[in-house]
Amino acid sequence: MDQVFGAQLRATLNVIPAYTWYATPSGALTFVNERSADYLGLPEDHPLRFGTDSGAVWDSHLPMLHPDDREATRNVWAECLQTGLPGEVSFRVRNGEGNYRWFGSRAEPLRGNDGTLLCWIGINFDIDERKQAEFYLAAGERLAHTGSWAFTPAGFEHWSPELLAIHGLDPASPPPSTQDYIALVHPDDREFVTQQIQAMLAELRGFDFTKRIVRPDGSIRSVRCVGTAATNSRVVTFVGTGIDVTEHEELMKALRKTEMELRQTLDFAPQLICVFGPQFEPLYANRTCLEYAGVSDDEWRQGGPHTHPDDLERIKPLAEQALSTGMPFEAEQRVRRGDGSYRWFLARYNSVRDEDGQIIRSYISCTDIDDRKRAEERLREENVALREEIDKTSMFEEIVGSSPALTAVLSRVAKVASTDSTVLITGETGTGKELLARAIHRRSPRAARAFVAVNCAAIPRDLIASELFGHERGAFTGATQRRLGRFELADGGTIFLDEIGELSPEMQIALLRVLQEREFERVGGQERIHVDVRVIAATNRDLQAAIVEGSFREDLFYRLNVFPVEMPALRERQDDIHVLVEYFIGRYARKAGKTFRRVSKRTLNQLRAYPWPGNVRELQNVIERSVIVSDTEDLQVDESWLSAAPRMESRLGLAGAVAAQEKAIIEDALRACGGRVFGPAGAATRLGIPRSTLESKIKALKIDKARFRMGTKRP
Amino acid sequence: MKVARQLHYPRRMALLKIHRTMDGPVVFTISGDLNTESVGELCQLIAAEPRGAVVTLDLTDLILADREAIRLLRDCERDARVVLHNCPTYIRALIAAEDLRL
Repeated sequence: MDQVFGAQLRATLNVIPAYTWYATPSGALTFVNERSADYLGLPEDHPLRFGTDSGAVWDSHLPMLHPDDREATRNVWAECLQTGLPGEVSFRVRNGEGNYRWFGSRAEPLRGNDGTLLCWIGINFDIDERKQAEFYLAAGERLAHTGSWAFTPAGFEHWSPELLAIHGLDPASPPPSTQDYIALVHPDDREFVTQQIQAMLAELRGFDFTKRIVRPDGSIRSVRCVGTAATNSRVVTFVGTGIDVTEHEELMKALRKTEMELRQTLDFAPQLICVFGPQFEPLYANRTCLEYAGVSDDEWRQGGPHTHPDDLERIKPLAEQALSTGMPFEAEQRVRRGDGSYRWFLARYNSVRDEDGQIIRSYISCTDIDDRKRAEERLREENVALREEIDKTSMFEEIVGSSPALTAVLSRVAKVASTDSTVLITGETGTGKELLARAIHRRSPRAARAFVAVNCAAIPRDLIASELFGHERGAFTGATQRRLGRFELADGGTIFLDEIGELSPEMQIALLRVLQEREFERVGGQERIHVDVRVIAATNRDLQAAIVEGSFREDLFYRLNVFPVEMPALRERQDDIHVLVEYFIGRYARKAGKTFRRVSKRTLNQLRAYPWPGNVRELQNVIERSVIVSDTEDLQVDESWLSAAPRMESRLGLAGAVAAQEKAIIEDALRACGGRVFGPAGAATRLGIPRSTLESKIKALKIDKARFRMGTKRP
Repeated sequence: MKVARQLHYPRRMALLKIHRTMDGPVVFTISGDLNTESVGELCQLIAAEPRGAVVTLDLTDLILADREAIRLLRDCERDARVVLHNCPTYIRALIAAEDLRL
């Protein structure tokens, strides 16, 4: 290069507001402009400021560069020198303070008209900030496992080092061709990815998908690709990112697996489990819940609550309080089943809140307690029946006595007690028929269950059906609630039908049906109710005579008379009178706070001689009365209490008194003759009057002859 | 020997049936227990009858009546709204006692 040209070139390069330089055709750096020289901190007389030949060679400038960049620069510079073609390279140059900055350098050959290489001219651009940004970007990409790319219809223009690293490629390598890229995609995902690229190019739209790649080392990674069309490019260009989401995918897979296992566990749980969102919108119900409600998942989400309306009303205040305090709570409630029926559940409510205290999830778990509730209900009803029995004053004593007549009965009872056979107990009033019935129940396998007694004579005819079989709400005026009947209360236990002879013909038919089929309907109801009940019946009427009269059904009699037991009258158990007296004295004396040393022999004989038409009950009353009136330690019994004939009521008047006396005499005679009117052993003979006279008197005085037949009812 | 014990269990609902005749004079047959809970229902039934009509209450099968029931029967009889038929003696006595209480 001649001097003039050199001076002109130097002057030109000095005015360019950039870092410029030139080198000899051999590549030796000869000149740097003032800006460059000032940056390098060269002294004012340094040869590079003037273009003076300093003996430098083609790579003498390399020490000015960062050691890490020298190799690349040398290679590029050598390529340029060898080919004579321009070249570009980026490197860091040390300034006068010893710090480095990035520069992008381009070298161009300057040739003469004849093509002779005159020199190399170069220009360096300060790209330090850009490089810093690239560095931080690369660091960010590395940390985020995210790389960037740029794509045109001709192929990939750019892959960031991180993207290359994600794909297992050399971070310094150029971006792969489209074919090489597809080859990196997992074979199962290639078709999908190819379609996405084609759609992207055809429709100029962005995309967001996740694909699997197979790295050169064989490992498989998941990469999420997000791309969008670049808006400020003349050529169709797409830019985007590739994010290594392998760990995330594996976490999600594990999470899905855990969730699936949890759902399976919840599905197999016997409880009904539901999850609700912040506004109590339904989110999830386990399989048990859906099967119970008979709905699909969608139907459950869209349907309303399955709780019984009455229970919703009751639970609402509890729920509101719990929600306000954030505390879990429990409630017993009925839940509707798929068939429309309801079962009782214990529902446990629990909620989860976020940091601000807002409910984000509510969980409800319901445990079936229907069997327990029904057992409680049954127990409650049994207890009510039991309470009514306990309220009676005289029914819990054991049967006292050891006379042959009583022993024979108890021996028979012992045989039948352990069976389920129906027992018909007959006997005069006050002989202890109910005591015997209870004894049978206590010795039966049903002793642990209810003993329900019904006095058929004490209940009005209009109500006996309701009493025995129950009624539904609204079955009749006065039926304000459903009521369980005595048969239902006695389910599993024993029902005692006292005074069975007093049942109306309609009730006899109903009872016969129940005894035959063990089923009935409540009054006003349609549901057939099956009960397992052992029946014990009792009467002091002569049922055979009632059958003849037509007031008692023969078929019902034979249903009841499976195992007849007759309670002996007290007069047939004279041996038991003493022990019964002692028993009642002990009971009532304790109550009265008295002590009795003895009962005189005279008193005992009086008691034994009395026929006791009222049997044990009458004896009980007499003893109680005696205890009250006795002032000494010897029990005193007023003889007037033991008169067989009823006292005359002075208010009756003379005619009435005569009629009452006549009636008593005739009844005594009939009793003594076993109800027989005529014949040698009949009452007419006994009284010394004609049979016809006696018959007319019997009719006029309204005496029921049948009562006086053997074992028949006594007044 | 077993002795009855005082146990406390809820009482069973009292049984009541009110049967109205459909032809001829109006007769309500009361069967069972008439108490505070059921008195209201009887009042409504009587009030539902046409004004001026006299209602007969047949008390043949009335087993039990508490004070509220006695007061109702007394008031209705005094207002000539009802006629008590087959009134048990003890009910009559209780009604008289209620009158004295006034």
